[in-house]
Amino acid sequence: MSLRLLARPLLGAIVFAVCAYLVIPTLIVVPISFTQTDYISFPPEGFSLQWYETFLGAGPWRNATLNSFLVAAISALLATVVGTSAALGLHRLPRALARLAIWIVLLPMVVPSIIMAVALYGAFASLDLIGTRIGLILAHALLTLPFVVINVSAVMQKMDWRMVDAARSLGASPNKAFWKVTLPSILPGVIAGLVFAFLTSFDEVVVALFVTGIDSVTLPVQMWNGIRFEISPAVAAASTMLLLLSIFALAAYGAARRVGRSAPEGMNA
Amino acid sequence: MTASPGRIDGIGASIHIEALTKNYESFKAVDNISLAVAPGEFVTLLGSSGSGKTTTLMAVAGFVAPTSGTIRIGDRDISRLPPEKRGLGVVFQSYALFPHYDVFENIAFPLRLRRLPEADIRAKVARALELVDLGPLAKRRIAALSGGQQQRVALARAIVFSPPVLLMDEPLGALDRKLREQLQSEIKRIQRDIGATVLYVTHDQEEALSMSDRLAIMRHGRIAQIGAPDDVYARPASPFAARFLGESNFVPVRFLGRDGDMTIVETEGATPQRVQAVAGPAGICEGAIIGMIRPEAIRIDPADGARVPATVERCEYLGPTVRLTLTTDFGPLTARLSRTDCPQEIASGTAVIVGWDAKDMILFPRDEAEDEPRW
Repeated sequence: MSLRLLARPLLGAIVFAVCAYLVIPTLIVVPISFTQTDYISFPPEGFSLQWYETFLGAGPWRNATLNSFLVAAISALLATVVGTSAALGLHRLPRALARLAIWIVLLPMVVPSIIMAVALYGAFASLDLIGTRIGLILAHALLTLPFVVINVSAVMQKMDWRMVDAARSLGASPNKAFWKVTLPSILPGVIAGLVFAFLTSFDEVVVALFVTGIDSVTLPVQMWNGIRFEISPAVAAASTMLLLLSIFALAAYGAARRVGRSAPEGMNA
Repeated sequence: MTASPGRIDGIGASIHIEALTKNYESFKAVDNISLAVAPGEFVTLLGSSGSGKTTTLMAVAGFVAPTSGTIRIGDRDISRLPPEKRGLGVVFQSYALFPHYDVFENIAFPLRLRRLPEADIRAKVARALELVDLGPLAKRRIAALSGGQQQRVALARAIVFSPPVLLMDEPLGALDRKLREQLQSEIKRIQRDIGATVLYVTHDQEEALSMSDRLAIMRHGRIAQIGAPDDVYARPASPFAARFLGESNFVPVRFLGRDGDMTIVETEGATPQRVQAVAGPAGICEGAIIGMIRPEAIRIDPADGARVPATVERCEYLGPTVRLTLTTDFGPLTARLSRTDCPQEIASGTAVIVGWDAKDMILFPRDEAEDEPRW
């Protein structure tokens, strides 16, 4: 009896403890970022926005951030176009072949990133792509491709493909049917893939460390340098900003999923 | 054309399917089918799954490339055209509506592809919505419609551009019985109103019987029998057709002789009964034969015709009809009587005399009867 009365508060306490364990280490960067000292200290001493000034003002931090946005945007777009095409192609392959092909496509997600980094370093070195922005974009597009394929394939599996036949019977060429029916139907998956690809590229550090040079440093690489050589609280300011970005991106992803779910489930013919 | 942009033009052209075959590797999904549908006619392909009915329909629609054979709409050979060049109206079982458009835009889709002026599009969509009784729902999202409403939108979308022929693939398969019956008569009404030629696919025999001008029973990729629903029901060409369309009793009999148009046979069993019967389409067979009788042709204690002793095993009241399960010397019989003919329940074990008109027993070679329909 008393045990039963205790059950709910106990459950609440455990849930709270787990959540705290998961979130507090992440949130600790927020107070640190406001410190007055020029080294990382916790609890922070005083209150100052100087590290946000360092982060946002002209200099290596702003350059790295802009570079990250550029690389993430272009590589995510590239991965989305290639990944969506791949998902559509995989759908048409015979089942056995499709299963094999999907493993190849998903490989960048399965292989440890350090191995990918070493392999890409070798390949890019012989192509003179080390230290170039193009090289990093290509590397990140490759790494994020699986996220797009997975998200688009998931939506395609629930789609009623008779819709495409219907569009054809109503007079649409295969091309028109794709733009007017197939693409709008898989759009939630495409957008989700794009968001995932963007986020993955934005915080990728291992491959970026290998492939980037002095003038194509990304934000995670800059943070890595900041913590190794300076122990600068600017890293905490950057982390706080990234945290905000992640929260916004997740919200956008959730919204896209909700739009996708409101479509009626296709029935099997 | 501009005089009455809101009209749905007469959409009845003929369909000629000639020697159509579709092989999937060694499997013959459609095996040398020929079928002519007259302008304005409603023809149903009726069969179980795997009988080739949907493959035939999809070959006409252009989604299945025939291995051989030709398909003509009017005098136009469409056998090798892609679906979008055929211009036929197709209604799918899954409705296949576009969830990202509202009702109006779904129906306007074929008209926009044809680049019609906006005023024409409005008039034609309005007319199509009116025809399927969905006028007030033009701005609804597809997800907000019931299954029956979705199927009406699919129908409106398939006829709004005045296609020469309407193809329907189990359009009511996903609906419950009551709604199905209502939509059956509605589809018939619309078909008559606009004079549409319809090729319809279903596995539901009642649907085929009630809607079709002619129905074709399909089996193993071939047409087992084609004809007006009444004719196919009354004169099945094979035990398979008899089993597939309606209920039937099969009685093993022996050939005795002939009497004019009639054949004289006797039932097998300990006490053989001499009865008259009519020969099936295979002609008068003298080997091992079997007689088919519809349950509703069997009566209790008839004044004339065949008379055989039987024992009532079960008596079930099914609303307007009564089903009697009987045992006889030559095997089980099922009878379906109208309630007025059997006002009181008959206790099981009661001995009765049952019988039928000579013309109601149709004879087939017995080996054909072993050919079970595949469900």
